[in-house]
Amino acid sequence: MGYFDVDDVLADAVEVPCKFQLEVAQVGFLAGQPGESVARNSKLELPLWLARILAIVGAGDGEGDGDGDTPFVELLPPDTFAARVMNAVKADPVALDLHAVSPYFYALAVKWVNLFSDAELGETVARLLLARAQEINSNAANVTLVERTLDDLAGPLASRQNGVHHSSPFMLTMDEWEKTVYKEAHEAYRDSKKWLLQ
Amino acid sequence: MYGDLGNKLIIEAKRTQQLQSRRNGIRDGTANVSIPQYNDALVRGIIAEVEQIRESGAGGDAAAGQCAHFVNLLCLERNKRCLLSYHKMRSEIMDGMAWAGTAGDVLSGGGGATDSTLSDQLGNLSHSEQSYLQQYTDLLTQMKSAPAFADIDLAGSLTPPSDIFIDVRVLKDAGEIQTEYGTFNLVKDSQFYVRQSDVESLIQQGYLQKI
Amino acid sequence: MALPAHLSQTFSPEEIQFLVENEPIKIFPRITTRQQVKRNHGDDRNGFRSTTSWTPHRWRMITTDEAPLNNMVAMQSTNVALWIALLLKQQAKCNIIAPEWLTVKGLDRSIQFEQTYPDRFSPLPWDWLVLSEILFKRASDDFHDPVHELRNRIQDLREMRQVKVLKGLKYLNESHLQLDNLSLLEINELRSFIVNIMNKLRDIHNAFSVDEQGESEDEDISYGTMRDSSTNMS
Repeated sequence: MGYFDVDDVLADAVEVPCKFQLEVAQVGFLAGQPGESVARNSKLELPLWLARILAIVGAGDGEGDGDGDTPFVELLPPDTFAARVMNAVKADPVALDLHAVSPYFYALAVKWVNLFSDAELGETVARLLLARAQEINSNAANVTLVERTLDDLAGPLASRQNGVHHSSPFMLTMDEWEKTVYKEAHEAYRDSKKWLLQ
Repeated sequence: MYGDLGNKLIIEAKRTQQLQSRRNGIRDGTANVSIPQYNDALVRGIIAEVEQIRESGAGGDAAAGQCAHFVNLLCLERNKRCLLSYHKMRSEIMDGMAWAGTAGDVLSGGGGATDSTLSDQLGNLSHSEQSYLQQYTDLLTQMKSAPAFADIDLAGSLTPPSDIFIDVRVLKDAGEIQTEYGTFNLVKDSQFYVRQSDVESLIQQGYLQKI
Repeated sequence: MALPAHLSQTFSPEEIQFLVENEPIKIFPRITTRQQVKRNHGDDRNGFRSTTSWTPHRWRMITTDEAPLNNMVAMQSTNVALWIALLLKQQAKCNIIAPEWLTVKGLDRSIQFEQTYPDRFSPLPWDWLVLSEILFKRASDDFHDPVHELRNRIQDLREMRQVKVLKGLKYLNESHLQLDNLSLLEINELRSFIVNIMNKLRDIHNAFSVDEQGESEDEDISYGTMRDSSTNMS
């Protein structure tokens, strides 16, 4: 997390559906039509860094205190948190391919919960996280010291594209944050085991 | 769409980080830090885009004008964040080089460097980055030689020592070294029993291996 | 960087070993560093400075304080730091006395405890895993019990406790965690995992509970100058 954090910058680029509440000239490039205007009620996929501000800021026609104005756009629920996905989350958190849902699922969820104070979504995501955490941990605790030397030999073209050992199908379904959690946990387990066996 | 170039730059930064963390995942003490080519074209592209947004001068008093103005502002902010994040990521790699002691070889363009992978690193840095690395290295040298740290090797091994004397094997010919326990002629494949603090830097540079 | 990322969050096992080596341990010295009882006698058999008989020391270790190194008497047990004990042991100048918990009897008691209380950890010292490992390696001939039996019990204990830890991880939450009697090495290998998970749970939790507490703007909605421009605009 942080202004410079590469993962957070990427998470901010995730696109969410929005509906424009007013006609806006000069921003046609958002819809791939530079120079045109965007019509009222038109639906567009906007990156989060744009959408989340436009959704909370609005303008009256030059007067008023600003608070009561309608925001420029209305955020529509993204596919990431569609009922279909939420049902899968509730049904079997571990079997869910979270990376396919969104590589930045948790980052997105936190931002979304924040925007809408959606406590229910928050609870669901927290339960999901806890259930998957057990799986991450048991994968991370699975240390064989031989595997490490094989990795060293395999070099950059090995299958560990993200510094992750693809030893179980679950690991392919982890989102980017889960991968870093896995990696740090795995290294801690590995270091302990190495020390104990030295 | 504005911001697309910034995304490309950040995706590149992410890829670099992944490569980096995989290397660091192998913690064998010998630092293997490398930096990919500075993406000058993309950075220039983003800066050009920033100029373009600024010149577009979208705006107006009406709500729609304010919205357009807002969109432009946000695009500027986004580009700024992408640029800063990319450069911060690279500066951190360069800091790592300085601490690992490879910065000198990189800056000399590989002249005299024993490791050939270091020689092409200089060309991967932009001019500003070269001077950053130079200045950071100078700063570090200055700090290491400060009286307060005179007795401490700040770039030394971070593993607590368990023995004062250790057995080492010579991996590469390193000529003669003199210690208060006598002179050792470090010929490849020979073994010595030496004081750890005398040979620490040679271990780090890969001449010796602790056994 | 000066401190690699993996060391800024947590200890390396080598660092833990270093900390443990500073803990006191009981030894039987095989050497004497002071004359036993008699003072002012002047009949130093070695003829070592016999004229200045008012100094009772034969020879002195260099220490920052006097005790206990300068009071070692052969076969009288004394407490010294583990690293000194190991150094003396290496030179056959002492025997290390295993602590009471590190005997077959003591370990069986701990195992019993682990079995009796499924949700508590037995009160072993904070360095049990590291200390036993060091002593098995460097002073295995000083144990009265067969080392392989001790090793098996240590392994059993570790596994039993790991199972309990796994069970406990299901109840992680965003605010607190209690790990009574878990040793430093055991905590260490879990630290980054637990901290990461708890931090994220707290992020999620804060995201929807901030407003309930009546605080206004959430914190990560905008960075840098965005907030300023938004207030200017509206």
